[in-house]
Amino acid sequence: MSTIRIVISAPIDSNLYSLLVSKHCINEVNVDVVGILTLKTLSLKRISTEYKRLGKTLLRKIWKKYCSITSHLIFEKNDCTSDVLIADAGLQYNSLKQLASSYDISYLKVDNPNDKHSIKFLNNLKPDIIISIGSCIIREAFLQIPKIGVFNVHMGILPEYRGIGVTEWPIIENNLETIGLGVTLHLMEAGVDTGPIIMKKNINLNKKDTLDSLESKYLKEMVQLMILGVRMAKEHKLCSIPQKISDGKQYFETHKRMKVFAEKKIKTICLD
Amino acid sequence: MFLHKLFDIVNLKISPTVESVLSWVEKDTEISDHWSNVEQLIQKIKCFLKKNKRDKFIDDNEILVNLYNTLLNIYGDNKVINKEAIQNIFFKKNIDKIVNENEINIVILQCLELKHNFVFSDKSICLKYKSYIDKALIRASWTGTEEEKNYAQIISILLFLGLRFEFLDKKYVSSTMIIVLKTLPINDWFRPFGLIYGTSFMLRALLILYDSDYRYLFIDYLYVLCESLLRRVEIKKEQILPFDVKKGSSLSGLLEHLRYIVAILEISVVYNDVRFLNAAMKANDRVYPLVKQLCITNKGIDKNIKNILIAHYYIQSIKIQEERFSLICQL
Repeated sequence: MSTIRIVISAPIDSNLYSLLVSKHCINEVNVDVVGILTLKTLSLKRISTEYKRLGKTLLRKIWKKYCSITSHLIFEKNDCTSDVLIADAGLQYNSLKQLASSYDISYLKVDNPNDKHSIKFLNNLKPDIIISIGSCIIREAFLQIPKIGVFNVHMGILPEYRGIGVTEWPIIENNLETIGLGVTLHLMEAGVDTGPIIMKKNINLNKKDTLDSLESKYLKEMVQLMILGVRMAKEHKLCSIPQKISDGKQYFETHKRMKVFAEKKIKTICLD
Repeated sequence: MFLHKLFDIVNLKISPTVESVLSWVEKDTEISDHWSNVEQLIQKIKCFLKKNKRDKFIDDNEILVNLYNTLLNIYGDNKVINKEAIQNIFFKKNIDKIVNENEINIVILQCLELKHNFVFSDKSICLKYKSYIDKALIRASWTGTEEEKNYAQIISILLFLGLRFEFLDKKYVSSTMIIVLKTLPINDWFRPFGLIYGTSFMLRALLILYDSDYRYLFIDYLYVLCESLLRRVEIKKEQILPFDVKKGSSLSGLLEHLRYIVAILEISVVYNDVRFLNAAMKANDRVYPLVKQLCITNKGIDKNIKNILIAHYYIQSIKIQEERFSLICQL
């Protein structure tokens, strides 16, 4: 079995999901993590893009991030699920930079994954797969680099639920029984979550679930699905099915009242 | 380790202040803010109507008198619909004069369309309007000169009102709509410098046709248009959508923007799609500070016409939004 070359493209240095995926890939036999690409946290361009996306809540995000960096907390973790995941992966580092340095992996911090520095860095590494984590739009020049493709796990069921806020939308639209909540591993394309589907996994709700607690359930499934995809690629068992765009819709961030409505509905569903 | 301890102490000290600043910054528009704004605007209009009684108007200006009567019907204490006054606008005026005179004429028609459950009983108006539209159609183009654009806008308003008040048949509107739409390919709808002023009427007319036997003619166009509009509103998150109105016409931009919000709410109903309601809710929150600053003075109806219409569309959109949202919550 030949060795597969992987590059991780992460949103920030301390992102737990990126750290877990990177560590699992490093642990895998016949998988060679050859590079890690992260985005600069404090760049004006990034702040302005994030502000457009998140609006006023960006300030709270920055404050939370500042607190986690300056305190002795290693990760931004909310519950014991994260502890289990960290232990399972044998993760001892709180930044991708440290991880890269410990395992002698090429590392680069850029303003934008599509910029020329990033493209040059990736081209030199000749990856088979790029694992893309985060929600930025990837351009064609980036997508063309890996031999197999750019992997992404979407926090929703595809093709039905593309875009963002897709944890709440199936609840709001009464589609829990028909489509459900879940995660989808797909190959990235220029469109938003429109690439061929590799596999998906449903996530079940239980009585104690809230929208916040669901996040850690998602984290676990996303890491597992990504690693499963890498194994399939390694074993040449990867197959993907193109999406029929008309089978789904693109979703956007929910209004805060919609979010409250979804939260209430979860409780009702679980009581039933 | 020492640095971490130091940061911990500093963070602990500044944390309450930062939290309260963040809470203040994050304070969003609540639905109670919208309702109190709606109430204030209704009071402003009522006050305006009281202070601008009929005798203050130039009584030979039939258009202004009719507009006043319309507003009185909607916002006044006397809720009896003065059908005669409303129909006068369509029957007694010369049709060419109505559509060419000035913006106020159009505004009256727009104001009328907001009055629900009103249908023209006399169908003879249909011929009069068809004849005008057919003539105007030759000179209408959404992508042409200002004059051609103006004709396209007038035709769209008339087609929409014709469908809404049932004085134009759907077959006629469909065939006319196909001709008008040829001048506005789907990609031209959202141009980099802004949307074309007045296109909200065309979208709303298309939404009425979607519920008819002629839907097959527009089904693809309307679907792409609605999805593009949703993306535009959700991704750019502009306080007001940009329109190709002249500089200094910010009120016109706000007015057309509010018409678009009403259209988005109508899409939500037609397609039974909550995404559009969600987008309209956010758009209404964003536009709230601008509507809150709205002034309705006592300087006469012609000076306040846009402000009154802005208030009117905002009130309508909040009402439709809340009706729709409570319906979703009940399901």
